[in-house]
Amino acid sequence: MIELRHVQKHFGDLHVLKDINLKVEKGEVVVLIGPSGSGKSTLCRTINRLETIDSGEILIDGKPLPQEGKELAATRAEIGMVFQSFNLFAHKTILDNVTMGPVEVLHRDRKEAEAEAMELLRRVGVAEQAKKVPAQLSGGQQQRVAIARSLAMHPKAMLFDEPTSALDPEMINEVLDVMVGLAREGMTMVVVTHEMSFARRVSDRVEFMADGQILEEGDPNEFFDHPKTERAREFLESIKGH
Amino acid sequence: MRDALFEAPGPKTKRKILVGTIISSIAIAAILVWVVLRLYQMGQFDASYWYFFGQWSTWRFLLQGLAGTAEVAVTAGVIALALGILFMFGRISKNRVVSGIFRVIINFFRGIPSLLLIYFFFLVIPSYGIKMPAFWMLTLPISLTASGVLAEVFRAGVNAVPKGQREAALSLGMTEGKVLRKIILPQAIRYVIPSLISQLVVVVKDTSVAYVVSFPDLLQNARVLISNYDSLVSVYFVVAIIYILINYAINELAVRMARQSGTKVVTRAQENPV
Ligand SMILES: Nc1ncnc2c1ncn2[C@@H]1O[C@H](COP(=O)(O)OP(=O)(O)OP(=O)(O)O)[C@@H](O)[C@H]1O
Ligand SMILES: [Mg+2]
Repeated sequence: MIELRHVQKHFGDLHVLKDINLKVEKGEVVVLIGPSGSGKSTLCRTINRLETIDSGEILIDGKPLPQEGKELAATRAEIGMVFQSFNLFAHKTILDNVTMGPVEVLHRDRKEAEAEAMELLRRVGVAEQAKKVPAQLSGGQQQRVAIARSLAMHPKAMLFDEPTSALDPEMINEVLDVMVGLAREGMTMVVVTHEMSFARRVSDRVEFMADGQILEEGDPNEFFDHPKTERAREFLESIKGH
Repeated sequence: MRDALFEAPGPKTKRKILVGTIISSIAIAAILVWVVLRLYQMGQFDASYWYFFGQWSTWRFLLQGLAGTAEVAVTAGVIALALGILFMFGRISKNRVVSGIFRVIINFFRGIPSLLLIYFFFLVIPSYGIKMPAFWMLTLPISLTASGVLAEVFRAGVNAVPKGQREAALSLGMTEGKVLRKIILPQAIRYVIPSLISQLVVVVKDTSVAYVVSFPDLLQNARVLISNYDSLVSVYFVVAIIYILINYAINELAVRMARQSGTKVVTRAQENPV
């Protein structure tokens, strides 16, 4: 479903992605993990071309990711993205945030879109907040709305870039629960996260990144219990403290 | 209101502020007394300079002028808003040539005094045989100079919208144009409402050069009164008060709207960070 082949990227002199190869099958949940600055966000963002790449190939359903215009927009519409900082549209109500995509991009009927949006908001547990604006919601609620906003587009796959890192500890689980639900329903997911419990419970594979490279990949339990590389061992030690 | 730039004053500073306040108050009072005294000595309080303000016809004439001022200010304001947004779009274009051209246009209109542009419309354009009513010879130059400023105000607003808003919209599959129209611009405009309104004040003040093209605005009609009644000081005094009240009302509106929108506000000082 998502495939990266020999992807290279620089930010100026900084080589952020070094020959990245990654394949995510339909229905798979892949967790990207690694130290800060290792290129996880950048990798995640190249998949819907929020970051461009220098060389290599990105394939979505076997077709090259379009580089611009309507084709790129159409591909992005099929891939959901959830950000660390939620990025809900600040000038729109919660309900409008969720209907924005279906109405503006898919040209769906507003009434229908609203009915479905309410359904989604109920599913993520924030239906009572529908008439508020994002600033009135807690971080956990905002992130659940952001997930609902993505789901309203009926995406083929979803990207999550540290969806719980900006949240207070007591709100992390409410967001993770929604994500676990999605994973169990068979959503294809690429998730940048340090939440080991999530990785162990639902991920099919963990990719360990350091210095722009994927150093290690494999079964989550295997990776967390018996990391093969020294870098991974050090890294896992450092996050256990939390 | 607490000024965020300064610490709360300590006892020493408080004493200094007190002394400063007393001295400056005395100075201001002295100047006022002197001015009033001089005016009195010159006979400016003589009834002959003031009696016509008791007549409805005087006020009707001033109100007609005020209507002219309002007509020019509102028309110029609307045109300037539209052009300002248009120029801003050109300025933020990814096409270097387009962006460069609009940069020049914006800086030209932003830099040129509106009076100079009015002379151009009044003296140069008619010499090429293009006829234009006085209203437009006044309104167009004022619109153009304001639009240059507004383009930069809008651009500051657009830059102030967090980039995550754009990324989230792109991720939903919106095209760049749609992102700009539906997500960025509505937020940008909210940020800059106070700056827009201060620019409206400038537009109102700019209309006061209407006499150049003999358009009957408030000040032009005031000048007619002055020559009719031979009473410069009293008329200018009344007209100045009217201008101040109008602009004060506009500013109050700005403050009110800024509070109401409750969002981050970009002030004039931040317009041009480069
Ligand atoms: N737009 C940019 N311009 C220049 N350098 C950037 C840019 N974005 C990221 N970088 C750099 O690229 C490197 C990888 O960044 P990235 O955000 O992908 O790391 P990350 O693994 O997601 O880290 P974190 O866990 O802190 O989010 C970092 O060194 C970062 O400073
Ligand atoms: Mg990151």
